[in-house]
Amino acid sequence: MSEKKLNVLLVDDSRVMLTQLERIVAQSDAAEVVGTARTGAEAVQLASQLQPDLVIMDIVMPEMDGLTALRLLAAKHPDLRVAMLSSVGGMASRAEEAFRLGAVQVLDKPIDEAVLEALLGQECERMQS
Amino acid sequence: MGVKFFGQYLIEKGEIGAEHLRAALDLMDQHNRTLGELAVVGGILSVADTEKVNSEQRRRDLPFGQLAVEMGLLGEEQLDHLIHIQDRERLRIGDALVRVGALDNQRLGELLAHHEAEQAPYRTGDVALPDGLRSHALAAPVLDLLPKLMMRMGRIFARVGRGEVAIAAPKLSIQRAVRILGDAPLLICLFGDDALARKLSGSERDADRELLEDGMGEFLNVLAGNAMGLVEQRGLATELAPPESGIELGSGFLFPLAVNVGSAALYLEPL
Repeated sequence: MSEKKLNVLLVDDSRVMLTQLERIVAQSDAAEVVGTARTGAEAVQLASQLQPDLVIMDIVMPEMDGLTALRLLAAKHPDLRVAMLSSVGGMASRAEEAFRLGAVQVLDKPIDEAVLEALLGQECERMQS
Repeated sequence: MGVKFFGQYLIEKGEIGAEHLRAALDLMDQHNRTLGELAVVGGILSVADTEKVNSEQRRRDLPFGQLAVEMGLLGEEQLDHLIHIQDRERLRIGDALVRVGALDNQRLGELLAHHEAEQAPYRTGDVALPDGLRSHALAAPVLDLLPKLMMRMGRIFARVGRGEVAIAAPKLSIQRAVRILGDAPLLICLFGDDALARKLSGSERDADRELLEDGMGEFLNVLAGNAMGLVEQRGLATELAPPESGIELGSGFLFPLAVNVGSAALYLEPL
C-alpha cells in the first residue's frame, strides 16, 4: 500500500496486552505503531510529542486511568481519534462514559482481532478521505 | 467476544456510528429520571432530603435508594415503588437509537435478537458454591466464566473443582489478584505454575517473571471485567482495581482448577 499509514499510539499497563496489540497492528496494511505507553500520564505526554492519528488505550490502569487520560486528550487534542480498550468495556456504564468523552470505539478484552483490524481499516480510510 | 453492551455491539457491527450512540445517550440523559428526582416529583422526598442523601453518597459509595432507606427517609415499599416507576419509564438504548434515527424498529428487533444470541455463552449457569459464597452476586459469574475465558485467552481447558474454606495458599509459583469494589466487593486470586502463566501470557519461551505475572493479571482483569458486566445488568455498581501480588489469604474459599496445562487454583474472598 503506497498511501500513508495510520500512526497508532498504544497504551496499556500490561506488557502482554501491548505485545498482542503491536502484533495485530504490525499485521495490518492500514496502520503502524508509533509509540507505546504504560500509563495514562505517559499517553498524554506522548500524544503531544508523536501526534498520532489514533490512540488505542486501556481504561483500567494504575496512576492515571484511561478515562481521565481520555478527558485530558480530548481537551488538548480535540481532533485526535481515541479508541478505548477494556476488560470492563462490556459494562454499559464504563463504555457509555468513554463514548460521552469522545471515544470513537470501545473494544473489549479479550481482543477480537477482526474487530481491531476493521477499526484500523476504517480509521485509515477516514484519514485518507 | 466477551460480555458486551448493546451500543458497543452495534458499533462493532457497523450498524451505527459513535456519534449516533452519543446522541442516543444524550437523549436518555434528558429523558431518564434518577430515583431522587422521581421521589421529589412524587412528593415522597423533599429536595433538601435528596441533597442530604447525595451528600452522604459522596462519603459512602452506595446506591441512592439504599442510603435513603438507611437514613430513614424512604420506606422499603416506597423504594420498590420508585424502582418500579423508574424501570417502567426508562428509555432504553435501543429505543433511544430509533428516536435519533440511527435504526428503525424492525432492524432494532433483529439486532436485539442477534445480540442476545451472541451473548448466550456468557450467561451464567448453575455453579455449586460453598455456603459462604452462595449469596455473593459475583461468585457464580466468576466461576462460570473462568473456563470459557481460559479457553478463549490461552487455549486452556479448565474445570472448576469444589470450593473449600481456604486453609493455606497453594504451593504454586505465581500468584496474582484483583479486587472488585462497590456493591459486591470480592477479592479474586489466581495461583498458577510457570507453565500455566506462560500459556496465559502468550510467551511459550523466554518469559521473565514480570511477564508471567502480567499474563495472569491480565487474565484476571478480563475475568473480573466480564463478571462485572453481567452483574451490572442486575443493577449493581462495581469498580475494578488494577492487579496486585503478595495477597495474604483471609476467610475465603479455594477452588482447585483442573487444567490441561500446568496447575492452577482460584481463591475467592468476599470483602
